[in-house]
Amino acid sequence: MNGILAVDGYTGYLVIAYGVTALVVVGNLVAARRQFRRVHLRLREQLERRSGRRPVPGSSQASGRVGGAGGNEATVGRNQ
Amino acid sequence: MAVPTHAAAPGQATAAPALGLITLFRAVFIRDLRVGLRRWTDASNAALFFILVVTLFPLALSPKAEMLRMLAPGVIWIAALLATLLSLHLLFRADLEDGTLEQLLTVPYPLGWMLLAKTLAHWVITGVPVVVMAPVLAITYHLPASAVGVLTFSLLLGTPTLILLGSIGAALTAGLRGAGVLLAFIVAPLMLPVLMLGARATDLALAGENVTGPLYLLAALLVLAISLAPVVAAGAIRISAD
Amino acid sequence: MWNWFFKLASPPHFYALAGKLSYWLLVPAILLLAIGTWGGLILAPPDYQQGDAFRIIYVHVPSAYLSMLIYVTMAVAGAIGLIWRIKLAHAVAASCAPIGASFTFAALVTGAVWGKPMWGTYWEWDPRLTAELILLFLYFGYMGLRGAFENLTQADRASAVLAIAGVVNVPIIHFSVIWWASLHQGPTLSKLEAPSISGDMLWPLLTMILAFTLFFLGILAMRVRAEVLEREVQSRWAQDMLRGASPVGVDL
Repeated sequence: MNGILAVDGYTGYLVIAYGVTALVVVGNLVAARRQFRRVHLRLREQLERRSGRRPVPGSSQASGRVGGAGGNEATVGRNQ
Repeated sequence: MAVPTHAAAPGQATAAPALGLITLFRAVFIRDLRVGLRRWTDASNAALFFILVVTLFPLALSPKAEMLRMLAPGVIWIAALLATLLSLHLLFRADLEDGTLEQLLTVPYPLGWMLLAKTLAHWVITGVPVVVMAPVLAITYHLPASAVGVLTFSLLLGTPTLILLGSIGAALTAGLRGAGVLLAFIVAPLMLPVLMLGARATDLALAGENVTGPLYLLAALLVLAISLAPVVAAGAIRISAD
Repeated sequence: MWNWFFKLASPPHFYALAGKLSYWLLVPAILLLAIGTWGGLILAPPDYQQGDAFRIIYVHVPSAYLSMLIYVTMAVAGAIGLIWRIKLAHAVAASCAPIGASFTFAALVTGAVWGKPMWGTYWEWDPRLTAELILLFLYFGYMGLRGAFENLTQADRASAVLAIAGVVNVPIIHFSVIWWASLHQGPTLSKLEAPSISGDMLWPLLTMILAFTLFFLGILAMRVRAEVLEREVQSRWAQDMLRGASPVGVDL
């Protein structure tokens, strides 16, 4: 081999193997980042909607009660 | 009813209950037997499905004797496993619907012990028909008498184990909508060793070799399942019924 | 000393810590991945028997090892959550599942692709391969069970029970190559014996294993952060942070 990337007939297999692994690695990075962004954005929007509706930016219990579905919206299974 | 030779499920209350453990077991067992037999159409699903699957293979593959003989151990065992999976949801469904399950949680008797009785009743209703039908079907697959005997015995040891393992999955998914396939998915990996050992024992009998190894292992798995599965299932029921 | 542990289990502290931690884990991980790949593809000499096909070992073994490590982590985290009722532990377990499933998939695919030149077949139903496939089913079963519950606490506890019940599969995968000497080759790395692989082939493998481990921990930190945020949305610290009132750590 000695530094040259010419492999003896196994190129295809190596490409597939390393390619799939690279995809999995990159995919994990992308997915984790997207998940965080999604959660962050969604919760921020919820919060703004709620404080927008109330004249006083309520204490956490008050904003927690309104739109109670919001809290329980910590639904399960949205992990990708 | 045979007195169980193993220690009762751990985690039982140490305060002496009003009912003795054996009486309790018998009570739950008989009750579940009665309830299950009342809904015998549901219970017979397992046996009917077993027969159906076994019937499909010769039609799809080949009715030739040598072929069927070779396939028989695997096919009959797979059919038994599928039949078990099919009827597992029945284990807790009735009690969940009429609120008995919540009651079971509140009484001062060990839940694992009661679940063992329930599971045994379930096996009598859904598993025993499979064990009884198996030799008949094995003969239609041209299995010789010795192999038929080993097959039936392996099913006798294996089907209770399958149902005990399945009770864990049934407990975890009790009350969930659309739990059927999920249940199968969860429970199938656990059931695989039993499937492999049972089919292997029958294969060995077919080849005329010594079958004691796999049969001992099957028995060991059964003992393990009897002692551990009810405990895990009890924990799972507590989670599901909350 | 336990103070530190319990402090860690407190969500706002964990959130802040995990943010920094993921950078510190992922950057070295990527670097080591590059070094290991270079070492494995270029520097290591071709194998006496397998030629260059053996280079798949540098992605296959770390993937397979991760698939098992992650499952055990998931089961242990679930157990901790069940026994000590620490919600963060359940968040960790939930976050592990998708990562573990993806690396199990990678292990199966790289294994199949390695199998073709090696044994002439993409797949054999031998114990180790089948057990790895079962592991994939276990991951899917875990994620499926989680998704089926509407109540988060129930989902946490039920899936923890499932993970613990399934952990018995991992030693089966690991030891199956010894118990059933069949198609899959024997262990290359063993704790007790000298490795059956030469030095200049070995170091890229160890590098890749380390790289994959750091990568997993970094991704895990990211996912648990998101998970914690979602679970704690009602709390004061989360709402303050979301409103931008108090910065709690870096957002990746």
